[in-house]
Amino acid sequence: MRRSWLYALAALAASLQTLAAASPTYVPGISYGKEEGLKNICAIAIGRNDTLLVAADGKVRFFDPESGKCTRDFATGLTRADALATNGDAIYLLKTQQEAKTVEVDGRKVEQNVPVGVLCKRFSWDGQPMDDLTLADARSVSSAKVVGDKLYLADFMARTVRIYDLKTGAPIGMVGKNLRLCCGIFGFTVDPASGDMLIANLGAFKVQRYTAAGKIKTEFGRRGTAVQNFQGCCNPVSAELLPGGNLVTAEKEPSRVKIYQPDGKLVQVFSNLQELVQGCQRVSVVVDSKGRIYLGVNAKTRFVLQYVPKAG
Amino acid sequence: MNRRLCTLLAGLLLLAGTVLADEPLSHAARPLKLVLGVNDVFCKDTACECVHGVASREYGDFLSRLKARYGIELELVFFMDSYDLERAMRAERFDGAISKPWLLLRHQDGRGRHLRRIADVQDTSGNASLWGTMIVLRDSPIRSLSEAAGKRLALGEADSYEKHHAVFALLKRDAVDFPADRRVERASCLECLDLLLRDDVDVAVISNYALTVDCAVEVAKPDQFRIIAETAKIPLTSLMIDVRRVSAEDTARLQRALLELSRNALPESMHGGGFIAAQPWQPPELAALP
Repeated sequence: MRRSWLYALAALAASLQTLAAASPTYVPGISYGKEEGLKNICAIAIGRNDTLLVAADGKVRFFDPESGKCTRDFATGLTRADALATNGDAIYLLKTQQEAKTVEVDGRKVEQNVPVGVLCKRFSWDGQPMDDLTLADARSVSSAKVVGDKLYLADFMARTVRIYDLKTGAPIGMVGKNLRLCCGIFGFTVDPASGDMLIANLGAFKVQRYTAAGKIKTEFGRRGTAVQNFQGCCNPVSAELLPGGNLVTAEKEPSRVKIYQPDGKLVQVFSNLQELVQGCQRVSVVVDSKGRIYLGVNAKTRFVLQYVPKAG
Repeated sequence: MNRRLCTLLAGLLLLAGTVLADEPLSHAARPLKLVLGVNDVFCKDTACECVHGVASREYGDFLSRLKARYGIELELVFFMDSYDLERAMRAERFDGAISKPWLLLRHQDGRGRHLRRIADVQDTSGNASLWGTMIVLRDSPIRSLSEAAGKRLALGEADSYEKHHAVFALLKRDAVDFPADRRVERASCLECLDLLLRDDVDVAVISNYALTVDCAVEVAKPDQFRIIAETAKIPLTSLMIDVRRVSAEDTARLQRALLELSRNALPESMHGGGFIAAQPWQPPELAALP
């Protein structure tokens, strides 16, 4: 009897150890861009050798992940971009194109800038301009990813993720339909291994995992006061995959960053996190190959905040 | 001499009139400063940016006039998330609040017991009421509440009066039953709408303003749905004072000033929504709470 208890305890310890190994604790790391005084972080991305790319103030800056120093930059010609993506060979900077149109709001006619398409500028890794990529049908862009030979674009206006051929810009497909989006925010990521897509469906207060074919595989989340739930008018605004299968979510005001298991079980809440953004703004989140998490902070002080995994 | 005296008197009267115009309508020399937490559906500082066209109320000018004319300084601390306001109130950070009354009154084991509603705030169209609407998809075969009996229902959680308690009161009154295993409770209107649009439920309950002054405006249009029932009306937004922290005299002074200023000199930036006398409301659920 006593021996069986010992076996049970050993098994429990082993399983806890396994979980700990799979779920490292995240602790604050380096802050990037404080010296540069990034006025408006549009988007961030991870490039070659885990280099952190930050699009802000009309430039793309390259930060060394170890030292936190900006090693170089190049001017983009766009004072404001909406998305940044790279595969380490080329850099893609995307911006929603808008036109002033008269629209009716609450019975009143007002002039508003209405999204009418997407400009996709291409640069070599060295920052040399290349031909723009024409993306048919895209009405707006909130975030983008490059995975393999595909460009994934979150089209807020169409409420779907559009997939394009990276070389030609030809449309390949769409994932997600009638997503419950608001505030112009649309965060997603792609699992390079499976082609699955993780979408932060903020209006539904859910993180949804779609197959490459566009079917919902799993989902979790609801609004609520409990820490594992999401808060605010609509959240989460971002969801990114971590090495090992867990995922990280970011919530705008009130700012919260949390790690979940794939089934939605809460693993960690980042403590002492200051307000990342104010009001209805997205929080750009990227993860590098070592599992380091980068948060684009657009609150009072503007920089990129790193969280690093600390093994058990 | 008489003419000079008349001129002097006229001048004095004019001066007095000018001073009076900028002076409190209800005099109170002693300055009063209160700090209130705010979560107001129609206020720009607490509403989602995507509805700022409608949720356009700004308190700044009103507060300036309140201070200039009545010597009352209200410091407002804005909360976009109602949960954060609840937490702050529980931590006893404020002298009162402006919010949906049930959100705070329901904490009868603590702070809510000491809150007194002294005024309600109108929305931009002069409405000061809040209610729940029970909706179905436009092409749903369900035409009435009685036809919805036994179907799948998404409604609010217990922290929402209009989407929860008022719904049960309505169902009880009309003897309509939605079995517990066919009911699902969600905290936000958006989640209830999501469940309805996904066909996970047949009927959803949302707040009356959800499709006009809430993030839901980005997700759905009113003409996608039909309303099959509405709950009883309750106050939408109230200014509540903690009677333990503010004296009865100061509370009465603030109440008079709020109503008087709203009636006589409401700034444009309040977008038509001023303070009115608190509508009588005694939710029976309060008596049932510990």
